[in-house]
Amino acid sequence: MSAAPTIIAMRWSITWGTTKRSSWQMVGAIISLLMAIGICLASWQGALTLGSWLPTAGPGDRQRMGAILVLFLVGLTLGVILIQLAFLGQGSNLSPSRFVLYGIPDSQLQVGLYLAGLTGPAGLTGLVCFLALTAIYARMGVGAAIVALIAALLAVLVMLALSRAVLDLVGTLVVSKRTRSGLYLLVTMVIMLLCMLPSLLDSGIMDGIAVDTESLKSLADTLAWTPLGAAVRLPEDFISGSWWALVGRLCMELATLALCFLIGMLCLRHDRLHAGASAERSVAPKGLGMLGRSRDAVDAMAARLLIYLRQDPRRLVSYPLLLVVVILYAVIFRQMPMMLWLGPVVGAWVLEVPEGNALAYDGLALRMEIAAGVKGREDRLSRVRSHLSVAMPCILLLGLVTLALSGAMKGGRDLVISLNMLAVTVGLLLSGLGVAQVFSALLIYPVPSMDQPFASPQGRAVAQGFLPLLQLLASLVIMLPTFLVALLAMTTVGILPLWLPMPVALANGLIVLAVGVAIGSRIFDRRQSAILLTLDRYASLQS
Amino acid sequence: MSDEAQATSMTAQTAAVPPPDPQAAVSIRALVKCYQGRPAVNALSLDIPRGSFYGIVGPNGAGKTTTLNMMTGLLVPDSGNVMILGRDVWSDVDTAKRVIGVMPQADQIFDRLTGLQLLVYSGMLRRMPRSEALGRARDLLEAFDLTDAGGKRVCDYSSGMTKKICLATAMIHSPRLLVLDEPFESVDPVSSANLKDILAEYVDTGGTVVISSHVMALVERMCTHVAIIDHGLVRADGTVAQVASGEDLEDRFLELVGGRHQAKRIAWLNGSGSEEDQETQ
Repeated sequence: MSAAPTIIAMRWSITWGTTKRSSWQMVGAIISLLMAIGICLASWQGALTLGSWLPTAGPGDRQRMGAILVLFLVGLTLGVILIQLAFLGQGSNLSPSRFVLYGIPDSQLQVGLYLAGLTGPAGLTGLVCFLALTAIYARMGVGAAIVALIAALLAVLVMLALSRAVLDLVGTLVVSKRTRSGLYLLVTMVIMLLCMLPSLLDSGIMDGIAVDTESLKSLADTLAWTPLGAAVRLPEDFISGSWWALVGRLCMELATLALCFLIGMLCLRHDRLHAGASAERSVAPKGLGMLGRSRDAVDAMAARLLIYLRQDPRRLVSYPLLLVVVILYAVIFRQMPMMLWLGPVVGAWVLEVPEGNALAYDGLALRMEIAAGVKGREDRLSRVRSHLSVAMPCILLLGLVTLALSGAMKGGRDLVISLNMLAVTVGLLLSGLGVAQVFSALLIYPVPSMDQPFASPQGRAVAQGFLPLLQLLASLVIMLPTFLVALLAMTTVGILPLWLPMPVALANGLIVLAVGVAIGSRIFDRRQSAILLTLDRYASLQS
Repeated sequence: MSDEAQATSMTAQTAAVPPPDPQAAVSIRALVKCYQGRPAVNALSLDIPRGSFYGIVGPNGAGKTTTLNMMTGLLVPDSGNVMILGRDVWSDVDTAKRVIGVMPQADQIFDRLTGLQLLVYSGMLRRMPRSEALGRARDLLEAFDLTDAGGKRVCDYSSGMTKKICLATAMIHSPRLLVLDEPFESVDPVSSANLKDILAEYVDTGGTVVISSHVMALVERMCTHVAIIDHGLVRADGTVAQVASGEDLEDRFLELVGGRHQAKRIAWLNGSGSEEDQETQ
């Protein structure tokens, strides 16, 4: 009997079980459901509008619409693959390794995993959206509508198959933890760059580079002969009677599905035959490493955090991202030198987000510290010390580079404003760290395991989206005194000295940090048992 | 029984218990912990004598781990008292933690550190100077046959080696009370024998070892005292001989805990219905 129905049932049981575990999960699920319904309705509304326009459109307009559809599908497919790689992974419950004990034939397992992916929440949303393609071509005749239906199914299946094949290949070929970490850093940075692409384009970076409709159409024509974009060109082939093109693209899509399926099978076979053969040689320091310079418990904990930071792609990714943010702002605001400061300011602000969930990154091992009777104050101080030892030099360096690039070194008002901005950057870093000391002891959300930064612990999406936003907002609100003083100093002449924001920002940051450490310490001491229980619960989501 | 009735019953038991014994290594009185209204530990009282090798046994879900967690300051009890070596645990939990050595599980250690780093770290967390922690770490690595692996990251250890390093982290500060959860699980016989020697020597110097285990033969052979826990209560405690009452400890355990029944015959568990069988037919 096929394993597919069982795997699909298991997938939905786990999703439902996780959703009803807490009211937060339920709220998140309802929001996701509403968003999915919204996306589907919007797709169908758009498709119906296009569908009523299409019979009156000339061949040129039809081709332009076809080009847009191809480019959209290619972008979406690449986006899905990237997002799968970075955030969702294979979904730990749909990993083939989960089924290794049951002796399910590889082909059945592959089909089961494909169908489970297709009938998951994201797969179903994609399917319903793409089925709207039939509404576009419905008035072009029954044949066109049927071809559009086939095209929609193929588009979703190929997207799913390509992303699974990429994940299978990554899982099989990228075995060393170091390479995995490198890939994780790379993918995260690419996604970050893609997210910033609209701002980059808006900044006029493409000025002078001619991107006309014809070149886009020709690009789309080329992409329509790749598995990434061929599916949505099928209805147009049918309408225009390009039978050879229709058959050719259809064969290519089917061949892609077969190839992806084959890749999945080969990966399963390879993993089975080479299980345990990829034992990595660990690179460990001689002696005590950084721990060798510690004088007390706080020093030792700070050293341990730094040793971990070097090996933890989940935390390490913040630093290259910091650089990306600064470079992007430098490109976007290249005409407005003083706006370059947005880079370090935003960088310092968001750098503290992982610190706000620091205990989750330690996981169950935190029990070792709690069992040893470590005080909350020692824990908080060690985190502040280790974090500042890396983050502060990075922020100062970026600040100095920005200072040089902004042209403020010549002196005068611009230099004072730049130094104010540098102080605000440092102040934000300190206050963000202070807020993080309270958040990390109070609000913990699940993180992927250190060994599987690609995997997605069920149910982390809502908390991971909401809690960092709350933390970022708190970090801003708590710096209001600095912002007010800066605003007054820069907009009024003579009432407040222009340099005043400098000491205010630093004092604001230091006070928030001190208060954050004090409050965070008390919360940590009071909630030790609750923290351990929470970490225990989240650890089960990582396995 | 309703929650209210359970609470009344627990209060009645709490009122009747004598005060904790400061002479005992561990003295527990009327300890209660409920999860979602259900008692995991139900007014449990127990005295563990100093210098004893004490086994805590019980079926899964009996409340052993919850009791050990409350005893070692890792879980706040709903009510009741725990005294460790004459100190009330929950009035100064950090001091109590420092006199106890709790063996962590494999996933409860910082396994990206090397064996040597982990031991020194464990010592320094307990306020030991680095040089002293380093000396003791080297001694422990030698005692546990881990000298060659001291420079390797713990995540690259085998499960037996990990068990040994976990035990070593609990011993580095020379606690007078060691709490070990299944210490010999997945440890090879040679290492296991060495560990037993180390623990026996530790007990000879006046230290107290509390182990939680499912292996009755091990408890019977190694422990001086034993407590059988079931449904959050102590069913029997005392020396191994007292608890066994002339029987085999495992039989006595089954007698006290119950749950043993005539094995139901599973008609299909004979290979019929397997693919091979179907092919033959």
